Amino acid sequence: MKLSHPSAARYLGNRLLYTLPVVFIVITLVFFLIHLVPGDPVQQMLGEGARAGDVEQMRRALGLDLPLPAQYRNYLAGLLRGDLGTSFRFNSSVTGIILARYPATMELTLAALLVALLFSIPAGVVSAVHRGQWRDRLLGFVSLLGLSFPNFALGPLLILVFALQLNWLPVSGRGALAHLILPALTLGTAMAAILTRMVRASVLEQLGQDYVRTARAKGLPERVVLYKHTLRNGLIPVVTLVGLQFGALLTGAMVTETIFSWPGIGRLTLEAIHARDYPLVQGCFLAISVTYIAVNLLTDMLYTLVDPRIRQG
Amino acid sequence: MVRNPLTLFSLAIIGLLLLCGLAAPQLAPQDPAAQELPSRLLGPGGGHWFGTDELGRDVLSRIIFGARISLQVGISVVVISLLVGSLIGSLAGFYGGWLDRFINVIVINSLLAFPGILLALAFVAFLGPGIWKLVIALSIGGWIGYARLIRGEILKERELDYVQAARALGEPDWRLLIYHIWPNIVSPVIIQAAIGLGGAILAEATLSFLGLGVPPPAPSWGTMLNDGRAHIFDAPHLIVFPALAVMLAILACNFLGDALRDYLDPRLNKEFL
Repeated sequence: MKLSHPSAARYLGNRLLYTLPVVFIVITLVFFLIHLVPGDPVQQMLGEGARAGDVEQMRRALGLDLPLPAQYRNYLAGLLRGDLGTSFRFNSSVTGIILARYPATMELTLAALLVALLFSIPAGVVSAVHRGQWRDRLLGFVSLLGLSFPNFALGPLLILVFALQLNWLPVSGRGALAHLILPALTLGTAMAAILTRMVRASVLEQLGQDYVRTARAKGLPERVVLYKHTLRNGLIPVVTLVGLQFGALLTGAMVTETIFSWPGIGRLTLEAIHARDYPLVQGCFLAISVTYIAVNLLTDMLYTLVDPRIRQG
Repeated sequence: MVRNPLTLFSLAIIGLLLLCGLAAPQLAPQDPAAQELPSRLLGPGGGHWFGTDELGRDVLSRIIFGARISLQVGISVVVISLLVGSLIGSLAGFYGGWLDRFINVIVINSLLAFPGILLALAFVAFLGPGIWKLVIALSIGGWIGYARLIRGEILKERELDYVQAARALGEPDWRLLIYHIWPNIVSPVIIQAAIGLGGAILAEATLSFLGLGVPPPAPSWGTMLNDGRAHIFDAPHLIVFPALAVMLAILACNFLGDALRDYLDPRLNKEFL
């Protein structure tokens, strides 16, 4: 089982090296996607009745009069300095705006992840242990229901029940912990459902392994067999799924933030899209993609730590 | 397969959706766009089973026409994604080598670096609203899942004895793929397509909810939910009915996917339901 550290370091080094070109492709794709589609942001900003001279002047001021390759070069050069440009709409640094909104999105997604884990691990284990019985069937039904309930439908319904009818929680906004509960539930439900199915399948697979039989044969209590032996191994594939599903959380955050007026990157992206604020849209997409790539890299590292077999692969 | 009540339920819902999609004008009690301002925001009951919206339009009629949009987008996205994904996945899996490395490592992994719907959002945001633009935007990211699945399955199959035997008998590549390999990998593809239909319906409703999907006045369920949010205090039925419609449609697709998995591939049967 003991493996040398250099192999793990090499594996992660390779992963990191492989990630850089992906980030570059993402940046390029987003840039050209935004610039090649029809629609003039300057016209949009100044309105239909703007004078041609003003439009031209504005275009020059924003650097939009340059040929596309030159704009791309400028953008990349700025990016290397950590400068994502200036937002057309807010007239301030895109980096600054994103940094100000980023913590709110992280708070929401991590809270949703917590909701998902708190529900799915016990539910998945109970399902696996009571396979085929009513508890398993009930949890199976509930998780499929959770999986099928879109967050944009769940959010307003939760507001309707818990904020308006029962008056227990605030309708929207960010602030106290109470503000976080409904958005985190809205965002975390689908993930909880997916993870429950995964934990169940994974624990079931482990329960059939020889080491579990050995542990039982040694006379270990079922609780120890389950939580100390089975669950530890059973959670390994769940780690990967969490990484992959994090992207869904980030995009789900757009909907959830819109519903609950949560001041995060998701809502910012939509506002920027509607205002055709190119630099801000680019910055938001970049922030979301890089976060997603970073989380997947982190998942890989975690995976390597918990499953030494991967390092040899 | 049809003995399972949940499978029956999902088939009934999908049947109902198809019926609504095909015969919406005959089934809907009213024109979904007809405004009747004096009877705006009526609750369910009376002449309007599901009530009316802020412009006095009949919610039931809009839900029935909404099924048509959901299915139109959902089925189109699945068909286009499946065709593109099958072609690319088959080529990568069957021929391997540099082609596989290019497709799998560069194209697929780069596209997967975008979280799911973000890619569609990026396209739709700048292509502008419209049903077919939405279909294209969703298909751009949609084929990746099928390509990956098909590539993996073909990679496994092509080394098996029956393929080698057929090859030794002089079968050309296209016959090997279509007549020998594909019949053996079609089950997981069908399962993925059923679940993918639910995913595409969800994606359409999500983008419409965000104001980036099907433009008004077309009655998309997502648009209806978004409009209904403004009346969450005084007319909650504007949220409840479209929410139930989306949920039932996706639930039915997921049930069907599970049932197909159990039926077509008993090895994967996890007996969850």
